[in-house]
Amino acid sequence: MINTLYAADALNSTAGFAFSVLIGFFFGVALERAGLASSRKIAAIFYFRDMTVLKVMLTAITTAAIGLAYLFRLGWLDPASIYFPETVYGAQIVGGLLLGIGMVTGGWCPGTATAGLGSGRIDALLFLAGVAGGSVLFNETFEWVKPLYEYRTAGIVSAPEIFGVSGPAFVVGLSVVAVILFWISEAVEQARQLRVHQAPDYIDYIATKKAPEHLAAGVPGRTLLQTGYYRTSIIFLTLFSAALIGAAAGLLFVEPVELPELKAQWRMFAGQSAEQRLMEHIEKGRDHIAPEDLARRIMNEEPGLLVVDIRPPDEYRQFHIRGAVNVPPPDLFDYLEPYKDRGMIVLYSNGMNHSGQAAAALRRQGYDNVYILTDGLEGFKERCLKPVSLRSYPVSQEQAQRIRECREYFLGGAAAISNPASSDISASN
Amino acid sequence: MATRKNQPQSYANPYLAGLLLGATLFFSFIILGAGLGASSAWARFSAWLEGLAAPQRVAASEYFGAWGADVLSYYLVFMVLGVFAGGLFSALTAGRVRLIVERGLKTGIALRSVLAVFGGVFVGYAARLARGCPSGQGLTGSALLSAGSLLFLIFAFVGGYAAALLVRRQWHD
Repeated sequence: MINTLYAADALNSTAGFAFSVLIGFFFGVALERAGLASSRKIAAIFYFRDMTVLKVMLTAITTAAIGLAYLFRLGWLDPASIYFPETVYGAQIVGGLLLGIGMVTGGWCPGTATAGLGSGRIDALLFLAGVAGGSVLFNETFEWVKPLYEYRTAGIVSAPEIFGVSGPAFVVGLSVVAVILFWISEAVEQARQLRVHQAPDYIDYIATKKAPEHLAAGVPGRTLLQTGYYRTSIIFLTLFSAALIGAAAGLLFVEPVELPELKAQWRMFAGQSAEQRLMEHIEKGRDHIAPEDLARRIMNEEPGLLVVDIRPPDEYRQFHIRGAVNVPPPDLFDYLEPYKDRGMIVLYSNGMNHSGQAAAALRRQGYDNVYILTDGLEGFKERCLKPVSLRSYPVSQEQAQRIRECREYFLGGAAAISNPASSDISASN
Repeated sequence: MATRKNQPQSYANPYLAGLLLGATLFFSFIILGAGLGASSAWARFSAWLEGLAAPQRVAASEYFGAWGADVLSYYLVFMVLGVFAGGLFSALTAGRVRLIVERGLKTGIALRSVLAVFGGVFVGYAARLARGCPSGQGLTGSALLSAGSLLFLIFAFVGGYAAALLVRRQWHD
């Protein structure tokens, strides 16, 4: 079983930094070797003159996905030890569109511009200055853009799950799509009779304003291709395509590891529900507390437990977890000072964004006893306070009893009895 | 190939360069437990710079403020230093280091510079919104088969192709 630095919570340690520099180095080399430390070459994909961006990205994505799928399938790597990015449909669709506009305008993305900066490209420096400016602008307008930033938050969502196929089957499909796009790209490039764009010679033309001999002589693109551009041979592409699809298809012949524990982990990658995936993640995360756990601790009046509601005061007045105090984020440092490393501090907001950010800030200030409520107040309502009658899944007798106790304790007996069908808890005060 | 002094070498076969990139991404997953990324490093540089100018303002802000006081102690900041070193090393050994503003052969420096900064602002803002850039979402998230990352990548190309005609002048030869 492979232990990652992320799983050991050591990404931001000396070892994490050293490995990051090393991995970044190879990242930079790969980009520069491919010709992606050149804005002309990157932008050319948007004019169908040079499809290198697509070839490089799809090859990298597919090979890494195949490699990971083997490790997951063989049980050598636990998916929970990998940081999976969260899916927020609205933010990522709009963000993708804006980023595409910026990429064709600027000619770079942050990764390639960094490698371009290493190659001396001044436009990369200008672009990165713009990126820094855009980041500051985002921070300054965060309050305004936040609804979009959180629009359609879906947690960790695997694409195979959406398509209703297994992870390996999806990877095979991905490699087939990649190969088809490779062949189309080669045909597009051939049809466009590539000229200056693809050869590295143009950098001297830009620098000196003096045309290289073959350009000055008006030699058409085909000659330049031989000196400057690597034309992929049909034989190479055929072998490469076969190797890629073959490696992916091999996944289907690997028996998944039978150990029950690993089997459960494998299910995640094969298309377990996003909620389940999140749960398993949280189980590993030492900084989370599950709603049921928090409810039990509050009801047992556990000593040293401090529950902090960081939402605006009017939302707190409408509804809050019984026993919680209301402290807006700017006052947290002052308020929590006496509780530093004493007992257990649980932060919650409506979701997990604010509480997570606040908890991270506190941890950096040396608070090791800060926890965030899994799924926030919404999760608490959903998992502890939602009436049994409204739940779409079967609930055992024991669970039903616990839910009734929770509702009675946190909503007051009246709310639980007089309005058993109410799902809108905040309206019942 | 001709051995004229300082003549830049040809670029590598894109598929082989893609394999190297894929292998790097793969090892990033199994060593770090996280993939590649670049935009958050530049966002942290900008938070650090803004912090030099207005420390109170940054500490109180909801987004940058959550990163704490020591914004640069973050693994992706170090990864980006490596990317710079790798780009420099590779370009040096291939004779491709040039201090130039890359642009179309018929395009002036001024137009290209303005568009580079302008595009950077868009990308900087969009990468924060989408929680990543073509490295963090496009490569990393897609290799993890994350639905949001794959959608992000598709829509980045949609946006790029949609805007391509408007800014084509900077690449005119």
